[in-house]
Amino acid sequence: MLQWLEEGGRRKINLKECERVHGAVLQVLMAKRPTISVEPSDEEVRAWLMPAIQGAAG
Amino acid sequence: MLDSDLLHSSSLEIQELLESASNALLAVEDTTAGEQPDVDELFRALHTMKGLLGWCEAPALVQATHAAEDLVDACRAGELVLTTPMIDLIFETLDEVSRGAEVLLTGAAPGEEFTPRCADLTKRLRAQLGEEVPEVAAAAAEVTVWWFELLDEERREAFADEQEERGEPLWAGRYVPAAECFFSGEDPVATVRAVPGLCWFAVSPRSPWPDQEEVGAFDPYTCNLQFHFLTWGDPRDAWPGGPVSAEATLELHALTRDELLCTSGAWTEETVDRDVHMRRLLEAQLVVLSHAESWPGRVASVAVTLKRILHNADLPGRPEAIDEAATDAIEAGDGAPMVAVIRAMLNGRPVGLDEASDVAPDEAPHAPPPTEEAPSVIPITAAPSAASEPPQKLAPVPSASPRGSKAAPRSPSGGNGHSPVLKVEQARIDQLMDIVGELVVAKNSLPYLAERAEGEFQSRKMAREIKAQHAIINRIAEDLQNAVMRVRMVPMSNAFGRFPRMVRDIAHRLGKQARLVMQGEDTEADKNIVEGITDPLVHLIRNSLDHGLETPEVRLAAGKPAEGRILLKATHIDDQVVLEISDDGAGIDLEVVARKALAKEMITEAELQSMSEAQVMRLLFAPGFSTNSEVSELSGRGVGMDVVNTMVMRASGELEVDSVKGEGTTIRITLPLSMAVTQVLLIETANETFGVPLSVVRETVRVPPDEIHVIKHQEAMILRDRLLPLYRLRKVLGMEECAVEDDGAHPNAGEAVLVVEAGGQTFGLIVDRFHAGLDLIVKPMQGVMSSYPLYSGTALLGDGRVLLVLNIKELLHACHVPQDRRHPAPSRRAGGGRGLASVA
Repeated sequence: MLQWLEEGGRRKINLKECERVHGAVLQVLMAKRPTISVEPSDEEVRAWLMPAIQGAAG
Repeated sequence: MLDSDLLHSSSLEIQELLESASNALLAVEDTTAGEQPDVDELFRALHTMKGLLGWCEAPALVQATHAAEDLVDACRAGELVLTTPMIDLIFETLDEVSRGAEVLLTGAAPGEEFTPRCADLTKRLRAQLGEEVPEVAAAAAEVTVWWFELLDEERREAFADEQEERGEPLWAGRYVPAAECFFSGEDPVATVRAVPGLCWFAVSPRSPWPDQEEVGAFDPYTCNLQFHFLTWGDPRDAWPGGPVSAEATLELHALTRDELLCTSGAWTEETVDRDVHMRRLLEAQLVVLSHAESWPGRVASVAVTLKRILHNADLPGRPEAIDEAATDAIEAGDGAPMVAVIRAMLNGRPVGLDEASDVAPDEAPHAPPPTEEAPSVIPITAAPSAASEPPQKLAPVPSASPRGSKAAPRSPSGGNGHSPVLKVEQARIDQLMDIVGELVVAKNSLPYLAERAEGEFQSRKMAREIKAQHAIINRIAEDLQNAVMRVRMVPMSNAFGRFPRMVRDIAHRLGKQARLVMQGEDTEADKNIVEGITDPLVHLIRNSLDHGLETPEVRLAAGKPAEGRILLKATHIDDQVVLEISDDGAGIDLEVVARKALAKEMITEAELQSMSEAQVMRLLFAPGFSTNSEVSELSGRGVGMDVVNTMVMRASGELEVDSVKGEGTTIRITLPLSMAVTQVLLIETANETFGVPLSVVRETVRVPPDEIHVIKHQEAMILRDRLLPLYRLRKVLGMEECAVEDDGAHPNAGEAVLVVEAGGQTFGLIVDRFHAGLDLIVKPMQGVMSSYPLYSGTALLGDGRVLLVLNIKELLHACHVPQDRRHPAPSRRAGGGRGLASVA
């Protein structure tokens, strides 16, 4: 995924179905901050995942 | 999330384990110093218990049990010797688990109320191990810096309120996983989300991420994450996936309310509870699977749980795939297929479907998978081919395990494995017993039919044939009855099991030394009787310890060994079981008893004068009597011997006390072997037929009227040089006005006297007529009728009539009580008995 993200400049990720994220994946998301086209539908996941990804930007 | 039935059966299993653990622990304690105690049994019990508790979503208890297990394990490895404080701690843990098991029995999971005590226990257990539960050293000021800026004020206020409500600290933690954690198979996100009691967490980078544009600067295989979290209870002992590795960092701080409300932040978040629960449960399954013992049963149970989780958590996948994995696991004797399924569920992958069809976003980097996990994934990917297979293939899964029936009662094919022991619900046996009872009653009607055949239809031949058939059916019914009764027989050890532990604990608390000696534990009796007698025995043993045995100093001064001895003995005498609880303590001081009874105005001075020693002793059984003037923690809460007596009577037993002051007390409980069939003597009074249990009947005599003397308004007679008080049953039952029907058979034979013995007294009951003795199934009185203590129950006679069986002991009591204070006998003249019979 890292490679995929690094290949194209404006790749989007759909996290709608996301229910859990492996730490390794998470840190790629946090490091690369790709555009999240759809936030996770799972409220719990969204609650901690989105701040993590966006928070890394700030 | 778990099925309440499942919790219930787990609870029963835990209780069995508790008992064996407790016994093993006592055995360890008894091991002479210097010898290596055998702790294998204890370890096994604790280990299995821990697995089951994890299964039941009781993390706090798992934590404590785990610590106890580690302690025992260290002893097993010879690293330490279990000392009394350690044994006490393990006992405490068992108690806690026992409380948890009680909660489970109600079908609920032991909740947060267990957390503080368990955390404390865990800490103390670990301390015994020399394992310092790392005290949180971080200064409050330092801690507050990192955590509160992540939470908004409102949220913190909510936590602060909750904290106050719960009365336990909220722990703030920071977890920095090892940089190489991905290689060791750890998913730090999963770890943190599985932290017990987790209520909030946030992820952030440990060091700033490298520049976006700089390709290759970011190493995806090195973990650069850190987690801040809030949890209820100290999470260290239950850290998911075992202790925190040396490379990782875990900082913890118990928050005070002030710290909680300190500054402001800018985060919101929602609860992650449900997911956390599911993960915890799944991980518990992994623990269960790691047990080598009782493999097939465990796998079947795990399969059932997994299916529930799959269903309840709406995880993707087919439940059948779980069964298939279970079959594979059992056949291969290897848990890998099941582990793979659980890992798939943990990772959010669909179970048993082609993964390619539904890729979860975190699937992509398969690059650093832990090597040992790789083979276990294979069965899943192989599973799709089975998707179209008929489900019959699944049937043998749970049945392969004898334990399956217990742990997973709802599994489609119950456990009927190779075990020679069959566990059957008691209700089924009870039902069988009821049917046998009906058969006996139905069978008893045949002789009446024979009589009618002869009398009404003048067919002697037919009558003979009916009688012949009756004899055959009678024999079969008796065999059947005996067989069912044998099924219901259980050894007394079922009731005795908990006593050694109890004696030990109570003696410790009272500062007394006591040894419980048990004899005849394998004496068998009906299950109901054994169960019914357990509680009274508990009270009696407590009484012996509390009131009976003296403190070591007093004992030594009296020339007795410092250690008191309580003997619990069960023996068979004829068709009865006799239980004896004797102690070599102080004995009962009759004078104290008498004075107490006077003080409580239970008797008058005049009454006391005329009382025999045995009668004074019986005052102990009177309601509200307790010799110990101090209301102690253990006994003497007003529930004294009277309650015990009632309980024993309810179990159809009799209680006797024998005591020598200064030498000790013996309490004897006499119980029938089985409550199922009672031999009853039929008697007639005032044209009504009553039953008297044959067990209390000593003899039947005819006494000429002139041999009946009246002494102080009390009729009496001399029987073999002994004065026998006489009571007229008519008078006792309030049926005096009923005319005597002269049957002419014994015009001058005198009064029919039934000599009975109850409550240690022998007396005569004057009745109108004696009839035959019968084997009957006596049912206890129900509903309104149960408030008439004069009758112990009812039985159906062969001709369909209802027979009232007298309770001789109560009858004797009623004889002593003036008429107006007595319970009125139920009015039978208004068609009572016979009216009931037509209903029956």
